[in-house]
Amino acid sequence: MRAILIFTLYLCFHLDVAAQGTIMVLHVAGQAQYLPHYGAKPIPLAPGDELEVKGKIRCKGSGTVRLIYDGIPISVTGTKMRDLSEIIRTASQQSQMSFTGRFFSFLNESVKEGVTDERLKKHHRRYMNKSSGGIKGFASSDATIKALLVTTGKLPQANVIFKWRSIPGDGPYVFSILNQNQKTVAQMLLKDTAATLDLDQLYISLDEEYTWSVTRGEKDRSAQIPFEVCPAQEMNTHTDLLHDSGFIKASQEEQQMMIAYQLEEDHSFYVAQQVYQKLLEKSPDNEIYKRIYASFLARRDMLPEAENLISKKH
Amino acid sequence: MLRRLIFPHSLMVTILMFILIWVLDVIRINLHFLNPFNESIRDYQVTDIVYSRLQDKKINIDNRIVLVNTGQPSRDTLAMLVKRLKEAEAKVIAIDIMLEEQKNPVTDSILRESLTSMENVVLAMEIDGVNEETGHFSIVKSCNPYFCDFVYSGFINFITNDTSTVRIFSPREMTTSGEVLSFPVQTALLYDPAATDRLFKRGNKVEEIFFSGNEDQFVQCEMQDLLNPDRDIRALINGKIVLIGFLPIDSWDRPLRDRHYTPLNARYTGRNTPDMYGMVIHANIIRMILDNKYVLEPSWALNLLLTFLICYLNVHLFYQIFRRVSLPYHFITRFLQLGEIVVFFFIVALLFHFYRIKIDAGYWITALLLTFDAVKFYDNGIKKRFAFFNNIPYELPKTVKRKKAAAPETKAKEASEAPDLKTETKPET
Repeated sequence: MRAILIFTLYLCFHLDVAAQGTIMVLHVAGQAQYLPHYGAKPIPLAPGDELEVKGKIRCKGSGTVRLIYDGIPISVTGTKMRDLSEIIRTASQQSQMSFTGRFFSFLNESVKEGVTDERLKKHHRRYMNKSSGGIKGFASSDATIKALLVTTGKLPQANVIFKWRSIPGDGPYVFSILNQNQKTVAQMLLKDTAATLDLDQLYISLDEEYTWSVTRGEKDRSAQIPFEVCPAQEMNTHTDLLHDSGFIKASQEEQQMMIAYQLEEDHSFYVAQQVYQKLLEKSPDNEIYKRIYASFLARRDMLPEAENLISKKH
Repeated sequence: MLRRLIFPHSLMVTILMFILIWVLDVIRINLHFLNPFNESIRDYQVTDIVYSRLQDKKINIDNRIVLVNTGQPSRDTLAMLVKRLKEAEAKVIAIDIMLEEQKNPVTDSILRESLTSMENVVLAMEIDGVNEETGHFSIVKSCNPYFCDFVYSGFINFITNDTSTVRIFSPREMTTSGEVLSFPVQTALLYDPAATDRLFKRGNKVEEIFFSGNEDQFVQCEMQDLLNPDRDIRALINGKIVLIGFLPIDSWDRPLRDRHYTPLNARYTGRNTPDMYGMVIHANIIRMILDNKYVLEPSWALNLLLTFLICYLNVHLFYQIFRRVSLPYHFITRFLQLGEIVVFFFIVALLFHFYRIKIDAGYWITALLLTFDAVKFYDNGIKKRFAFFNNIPYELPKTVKRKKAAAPETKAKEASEAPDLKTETKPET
């Protein structure tokens, strides 16, 4: 009995030790951040870093991180803040077959592959989604309503104006915010092409990804634009710049431009736009500011606004 | 005991089959034009399936090697990187970039200064112009003496033609100016001379590469990660081998430059995309040397013995089936052949996966495929026509002593057996 108890305790201790392991960063493409605990300052990730399982991780933009935990390689993408423990749990659930299991699975696959040729001819339509010749390029979107892409990425816990371009037709625009399960969080019927919402008042979780979209009638709809609401301290990217000697030496206006650029890099497009607008309010005739702001708008797929801004010069 | 295992007719058929296999082996006719499928599997080995499909997905990370992707860097950036790695106390810096020509005198001198400031730097070079008689190479290229004469260098040539898979490498070669080591061997030598000694003691002219995995088994950095002055890279780099080269990691845009086919390719037949960058192959070789994990191949004699045993056992089994149940002989043996091929494949895969023992089962399978016809040909064609063969018993008498004592009995038994066997219904040929 005693031996069983000791053995059970040993097992528990062993499992506990195993659960407290660390994760190693194998590679980082683009940018990614690690939060040791909620509310902590984000730490930029670099290859070779060791992370605690209890922390959180997120990528910036199209960045990817390759991690390794207990020999299991894990790829992380997406701007959503994710618990490392959850990522590990998901990766560990994928079955680890023994050598014999893999062998017979291979044999079984081989037998299946043997009949694929006939199946391919008989049910060819089923297999037409596997590959296509060509690369991703520019094409007209399925969305008939064009949403303005400033209200994507990170949005502040404040009043935010969501905008889209008008289209000919009758009836109201239906503006909706959906959560990840495609359940409606908020909906408004509007005459105009803008919806103002106080995101602090909405029942929205911080760091969760939501989408907004607009429809009109049966046919017209916009694409689903992803966004997340971030706490104020996460939006204060200029705290990172405070240690930069170039930032310290720069003039106040230059500092604002640097902050705006940093915000854009950090996918805080809405706040970045506000910084550019404030800058232009202060110096409405400054051509450099106009051009930089126009470039920002163009990057956000708002070419008419960008052209309008530059053409004011003449 | 041995006598009970010897069956004269099975032995005869085995010998006959060995002669057949030898003839087939000598008369090599290129029949690929008859079967386009053959073309795609010509560059295929059974162990490729072990690498590509049967490997454990768990990764054993190597903390001794760090890979750095520089893309195609400028020489001053390379100089800065080497300087930074030196400050972080890397044990060996291996640069898989060919510094072929002298370019800007200023940046070149800065780079040379940077390279020579550290003891253990290895540069990549190529060897060419082999003399077929002596086996010596006459040309050392792709590394300008302005750099190479002051640091270590190693050749980066792989043993492969344009399309086939990188499986083997040469640890060292002779040039007209002396012996040169391959790039990974030179790197391993500077890191752990004892490990490299073990490689040299094996005395093989070429070594099979044991691929422990793809690039995921090493920490991979972008050059910018290391050049960032705000980042302390000492913990990552200190005391390690740093391999610098071309390793684009973004999966959507991986150019084909310096990418090669390896046995890890997910499509082990009819491969269409090379799967591994040269630097990762070098890293695999270095890991193999440091871990002393070589691919073991049985000697020619052991292979022959194994083939003989397998062939003999199969012949005996098939012969027994042929003698006892001649009518469903075809049916049973065909299933046996199929089952045995799977078993052979399992054994080969198992031995390679767990013990890195690489067995060529080609002869086993050839023997297995020939057994069916050889048994029939021998029994119906040779044994019936030549009395000498017909008079040989199926089994050897149990002991010589007993044979002498019970000679009349044995003779009577043999005599009673012989007609029975002759009257057995043999399958039609």
